[in-house]
Formats: sequence, structure tokens, C-alpha cells
Amino acid sequence: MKNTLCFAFIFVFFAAVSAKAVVIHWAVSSMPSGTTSAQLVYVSDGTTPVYDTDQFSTGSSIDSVSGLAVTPLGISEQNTEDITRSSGSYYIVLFNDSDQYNVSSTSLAYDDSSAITSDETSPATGTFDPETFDGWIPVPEPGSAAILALGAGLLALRRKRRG
Amino acid sequence: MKNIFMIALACAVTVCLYAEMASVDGSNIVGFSTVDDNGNDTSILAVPYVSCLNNDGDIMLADLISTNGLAGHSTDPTQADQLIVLIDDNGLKYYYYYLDLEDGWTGIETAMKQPDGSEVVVTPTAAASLPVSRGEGFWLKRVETSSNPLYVQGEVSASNPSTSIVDGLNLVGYGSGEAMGLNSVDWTGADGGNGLLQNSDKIIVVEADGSLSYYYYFTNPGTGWEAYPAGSSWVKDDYTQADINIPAGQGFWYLRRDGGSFNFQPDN
Repeated sequence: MKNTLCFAFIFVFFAAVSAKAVVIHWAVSSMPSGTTSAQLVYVSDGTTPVYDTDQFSTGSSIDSVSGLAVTPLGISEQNTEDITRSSGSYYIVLFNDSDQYNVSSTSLAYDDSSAITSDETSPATGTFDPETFDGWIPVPEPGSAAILALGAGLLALRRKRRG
Repeated sequence: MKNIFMIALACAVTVCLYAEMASVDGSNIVGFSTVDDNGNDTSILAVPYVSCLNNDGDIMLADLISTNGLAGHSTDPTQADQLIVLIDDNGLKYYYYYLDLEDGWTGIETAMKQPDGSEVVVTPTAAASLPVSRGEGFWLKRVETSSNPLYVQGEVSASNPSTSIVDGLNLVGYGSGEAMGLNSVDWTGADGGNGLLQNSDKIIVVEADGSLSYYYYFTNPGTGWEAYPAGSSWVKDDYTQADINIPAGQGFWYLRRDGGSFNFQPDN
């Protein structure tokens, strides 16, 4: 009976703790030159995030940093609160002044307790700090996207008339 | 006449005895501190005192925490105040105790899951035999019915409080009767790394609502860092100065990340 009570207590204690939001600890020590800001992005299916015009078409931004947090050596450690997830991964996406973005080559699993925790009795001892990035990709401009769409529409209309 | 003689004799004897008695001369000061902690709360407490008449020795857990007046007692561990003592920094292994009206702080058997899937039952050392050192911290988890303050007691040490902070997570308690301004005490030995906060020492404070706050020891590398705070100090993750006061009797986590250790002695 006593053991049952003990296990019940442990269960209640950790259930109360796990119901809280999680905190993700992330940073960039190996920062590509030209970086001016960074975002932490969550993707539910774990695939690489895609940035389109002015927002992510794949993934959702959880946090954004700029200013002093982007130091001469890299992005200093950030503590970002998020809801508790049941799948997916977190990526770090960098931006520069040339309208380009750069996605981390590695991701952080939603349940990696070394860098994600809210358990006050055993706080995180690690940090999600990807060593490499995939390379700078131009952010599609709104004007370019509109011209492309218009061109495709005209082409389709012309083929229809000929047919 | 006989009465007068007797009274004179008694006075003479008293004067003689008083003259013979040597006064007790010592530096032992008994400490008794209040920890204002609301019910239904979990917080880190400090160990501010040493064992009485034991040359600054460790104090036993049962002697440190007074049970007088505590309403959060029960024969059911889930309905009583809890003490959670970290006994192994590496494995984050805890001893759990609950407050029983008759037996005081009583150990709770817990099961630890092992990497191979098996479970190991952990039986705490009796609270009367478990030494806790000044400078260490431990957890207090109070049930909703706990409205009375908790008291810690022991002998005030004549020497400045100090504790060793080693690589990895440390549960630290600053034994003082006053709040500790994080940037107001001596942090000789703290490491600021290369300026990036992920490489420097980190302090984790449990707030009243149970959330965690993070502070980093920042040492300005110099050239190229002119826009950042000069010298060495504790900062937040946006490099603004930490303005926190850790209340008296409260502890905190310290994450040491450079692989070395140092002796934290804030009153130097």
C-alpha cells in the first residue's frame, strides 16, 4: 500500500511538471558571415523548413532574435518557451541583409531532453547548437512571384485559344 | 535574631558561590530563520546553518528543518509537505521525505527507471542521519494546506559561507539572513567563456510561479564587443544586466560549463 502511494505521488508530481510549457535552449556558435537575425522554426513532420516571400510555407516561427543577441561570434543562447509537442523537430533559420535565408543542417527532436525542458528539478544541461547550415537561399520576392504567376496564366490562356 | 542570622548566612553563601562560578564564554550563536513559503508551491531552499557544537560540521536534515507548527502533515505522503534532497549531481538522484505528525520527516521509497528498463527502489537514509552541508540546496514541496511558515535552525557559523561548485549542475544555497543581489556578491572563479552565453556559467532560478529564469556570467572579450556590458557580470540572454535578488534562505541551480570547479564564497 505504501509503495502504491509512493508511485502515485511520483506520478502526480511529474504529471504536474510535464503539463507546463517547455523551454527550448538554442544557440549558434558556428555562424555564417553576414547573419543579421535568426529564427527558431518548428516543423510538425520534421522536414526542412521553407521560407516563401515573407513567411514560412513549411514550418512555423517560434522565436526571432536580432540586436545584441547576434554577437560578433554567433547567436548567444536563447530560452524560448513553446507548447508541449508530440512530434516534429526544431530548426534554426538565419537571415542576412541580402534577402537570403539559411537553414540548419541538423534539427532538434521535439522530445530531446538535453536542450528542451521545463522540469524545475532537472533543468536542461545542453543547448541546441547546430554546427553547419545548408547555405544561403534567396527569399522569393513578392514581385517576382506575381510576374511568374501572370506569365503562367497568359501561357495557359494562349494554348487554350490555339486549341 | 535567628532569622536575621540565617538570612545573612544565605547571602554570604550566595556571594561565595557567585564568586566561584566561571561565566560560560563562547562564540556559538543559535540561528533560527523563517522561510516564508506559500502552500501549494515548490521552491529551492538554502542550508544556512551548521551543526551545533560540532566545529562547523554538517547538520542533519531532521535537525535543520523545524516541524513545529507545520500544518502540512499526513500519514499519506501525497497529502503532506515534502523535502526533496539531491544526493547525486551526476544522476540527479533524489531522496524524498514527507512530514508525518508522529515521526517527523519520513523517507519515501521511490523507484528509479534504469536504462535497461528495470527499476531500482531507492530507500532514503533517515532524516536524522542524513547530513546536509551549508551552501547546499534542497527542495521544499508544500501542499495546499500548508499555511504556516517553515523554520530552519542550527548554529551560525563564524566563518564566511562557502561551497564548492563543480562541473555540471550544482544545487546551491546561499546561507544568509539577507537577500543576495546576483551582481552584488563576490563571484571570483565564475567563468564567462568567450562571450557567447552558451559557453559561460549559467544560473537557473525557480520563480514563485514555478517558472525558470536564466542568467549567464558574461566576461566582455574586448575588441569588437564595445556595445556590450563592460567587465564581468551576470546578464540575461539579451545581454542586459541581471537585476535579480535571490531571497534569504532560497537556493538556485548553477550550471558550470568550463570543466573546472571553484569555491563560491560570496562574502569575501
